[in-house]
Amino acid sequence: MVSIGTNAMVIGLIRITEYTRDRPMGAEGGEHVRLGQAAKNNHAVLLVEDEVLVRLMMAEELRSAGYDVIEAATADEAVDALAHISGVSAVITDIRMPGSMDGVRLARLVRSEYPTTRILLTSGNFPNVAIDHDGFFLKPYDPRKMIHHIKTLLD
Amino acid sequence: MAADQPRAQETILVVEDDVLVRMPIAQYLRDCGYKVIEAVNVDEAMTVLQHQETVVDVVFSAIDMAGSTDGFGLSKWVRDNRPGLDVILTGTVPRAVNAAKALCDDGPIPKPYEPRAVHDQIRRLRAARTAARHK
Repeated sequence: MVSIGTNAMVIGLIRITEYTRDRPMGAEGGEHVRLGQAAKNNHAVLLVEDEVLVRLMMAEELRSAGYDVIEAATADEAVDALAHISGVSAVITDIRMPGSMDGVRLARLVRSEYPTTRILLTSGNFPNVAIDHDGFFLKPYDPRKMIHHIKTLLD
Repeated sequence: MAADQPRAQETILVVEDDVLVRMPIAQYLRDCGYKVIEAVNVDEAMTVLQHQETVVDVVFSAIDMAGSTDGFGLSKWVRDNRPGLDVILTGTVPRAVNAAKALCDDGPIPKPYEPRAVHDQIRRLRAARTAARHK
């Protein structure tokens, strides 16, 4: 079984918040993320992870599942991408990252500014603050379980 | 290799610290049939290149990037540690697009769309960012 993260145990989802499925909206005037071939399922996911090997493995899994993936190494990059690229259906973000903003602040920004974009959080530890989100995955997580959860949120 | 054998998918490591440049370039190369790994700086690129289970066939790198070293430093590191691995250095967005176009001309799906569209997209994205910053 492939697991993504650094610990030996795999613990999956701990909470799913109820949501109303709305049509994803991007930044006003933003470029659509797709220039060429459309994603198989017409959904784009912004993956925010500062560990490059974790990020590339999860990005590969998401692309294999038919998603367009925008990769960001920091929340600052993610904010830049969200502000100028439309069509992002979900943000997967690690909580602890270097930069001016961590995943908690990013999640709150996404919830506030992009209310129809789903938020999934990842971390090696359970967060000790309340964060409005649509799923949490403790590292190391099974990417297939995350993708299954994304499908239930978006499809 | 026999002419009728399928060409193995080549992997390009794109190293670029501006997500609004990296994303369109990486997407274009994917649409040309390449597998693309993205690194946001040279440190990430070296981590990928040192990971034995990850295959990289070509390094496609910007020159000026934040981090411990720049594209020239990466090129030297590759020469010392991964001899034989091709490194393409790009200094400007037009040069990056032209280099991507050249790779796509040899790619499994040559030029799926005009590379100028990639350049235009990057230019629009960056213009929008500049405009937002001056508000």
